[in-house]
Amino acid sequence: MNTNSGNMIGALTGPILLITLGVLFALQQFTDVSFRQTWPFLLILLGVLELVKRLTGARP
Amino acid sequence: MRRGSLIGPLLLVLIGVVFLVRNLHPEWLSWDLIARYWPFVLIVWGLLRVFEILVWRFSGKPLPQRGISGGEWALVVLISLAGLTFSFVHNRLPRLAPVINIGGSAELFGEAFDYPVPEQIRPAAAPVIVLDHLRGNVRIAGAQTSEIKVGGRKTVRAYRRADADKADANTPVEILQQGDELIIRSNQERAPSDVRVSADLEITVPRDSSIRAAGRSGDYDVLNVRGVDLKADSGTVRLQDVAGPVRVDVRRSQMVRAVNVKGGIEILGSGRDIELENVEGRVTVNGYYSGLLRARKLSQPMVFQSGVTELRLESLPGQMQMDLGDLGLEQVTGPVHLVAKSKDVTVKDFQGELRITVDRGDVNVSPRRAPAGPVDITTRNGDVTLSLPARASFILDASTRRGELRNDFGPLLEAREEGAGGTLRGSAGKGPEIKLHTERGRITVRKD
Repeated sequence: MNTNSGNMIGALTGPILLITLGVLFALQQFTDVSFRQTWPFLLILLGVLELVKRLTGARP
Repeated sequence: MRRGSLIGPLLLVLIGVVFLVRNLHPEWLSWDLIARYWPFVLIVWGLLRVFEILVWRFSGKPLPQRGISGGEWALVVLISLAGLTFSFVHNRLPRLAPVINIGGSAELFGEAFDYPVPEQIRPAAAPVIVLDHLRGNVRIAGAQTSEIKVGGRKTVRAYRRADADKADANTPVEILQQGDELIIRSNQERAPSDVRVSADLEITVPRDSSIRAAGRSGDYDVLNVRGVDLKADSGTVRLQDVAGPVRVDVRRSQMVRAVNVKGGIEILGSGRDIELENVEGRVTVNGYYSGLLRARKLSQPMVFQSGVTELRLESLPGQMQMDLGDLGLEQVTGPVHLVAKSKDVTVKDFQGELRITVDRGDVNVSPRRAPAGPVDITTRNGDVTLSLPARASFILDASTRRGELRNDFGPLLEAREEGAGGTLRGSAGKGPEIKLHTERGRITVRKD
């Protein structure tokens, strides 16, 4: 079961990053928040997702 | 079994449909829309993939190691680069946009045939003249007359002379009376889609007529009329000597110019440069104008809103000039309010209240005479310089988080260092309040 949810996070990492990327670009388009300021958020998100994946027990 | 995702093919279909619609019905989907909303393609793609993975999971299928494959990431990067480039080009350089026009091959490869537009004269009983004009340049001049006169030249681009002749015969320029309005029709929509008709028209109208025009592309020159209401897709608009109100709504205009206007001016849409001179009514600019804004002698308030820049002023006996990186105001009456993201601002000789908030940029203010209203200047990243007359009275409160302070008024102002920055406070007489603040930059209070 544990392994399964680790798998799940692994599979969802890509799509979640993609959605976030889209949202950041949309923010740049419609508000003052430019992508040049917000891109590190993607790194943080990737790190957090990777962490969650390891903690939930998927063997690397 | 190889598990296939449906999203890749769907994306291809979407891109194909976009181009097809652009070619067949350009008015359904403007590049403007695509340049604005493309990030949602990424968002929807991600959401669909999440949905797909959930469905796979609950139907017990094995999950993929990675939700989005290397190849798909490459496509994401490609879409992002294309989208970013496209919205940049679309926003900053509207004059390039027509070059990316796909379709209408006769425009590029056909041959041009010229035809005269026979001159027509009609008594102009109606005060409103409507121009239903798709393509071509129009010159409208008001004169001391009670007739309307239309003439000019037509250019037909087609592959064969016979096609061009037919298109010319099919698209006569007509003058029709409809109720209170006199309508000048170009009938260009009757031409087949592989032939392009454009007409350059010279129109003379009675001086007190109002002009209402809608067109797809071409320049408008309007002179000596009572009012103007103009809608166009691209081109240059030049107006002179208008006795009443002016309204201009354009996309991708290279320049909107209005000189000697007695009524108010409203400019919407998008484009590059704006030039205003000698306007007696209120001026409103609300749209996306990325080029140079030049104005002189505005006797009523002006409100300018474009992208992240907002400028309001009460009147402008002098002149101003603004582009993407700079704003210069000379001889202006407040309240003046400016909010901008990245601009170097210079204000010379102002009266009344002055409030400036910029994110990045140096601010340089010299009131010439003693300031009469409160002054409030904030920049996050940049130097602030204030030049005051030697005998001005004021109450000053200046601070920088990081940067030096320079003071020409000596002991009148008390300087205090705080961390990497400092404050400068003090007063001379009972003058208006002056607040200067920068997060990072130098503050200079100069005595003239």
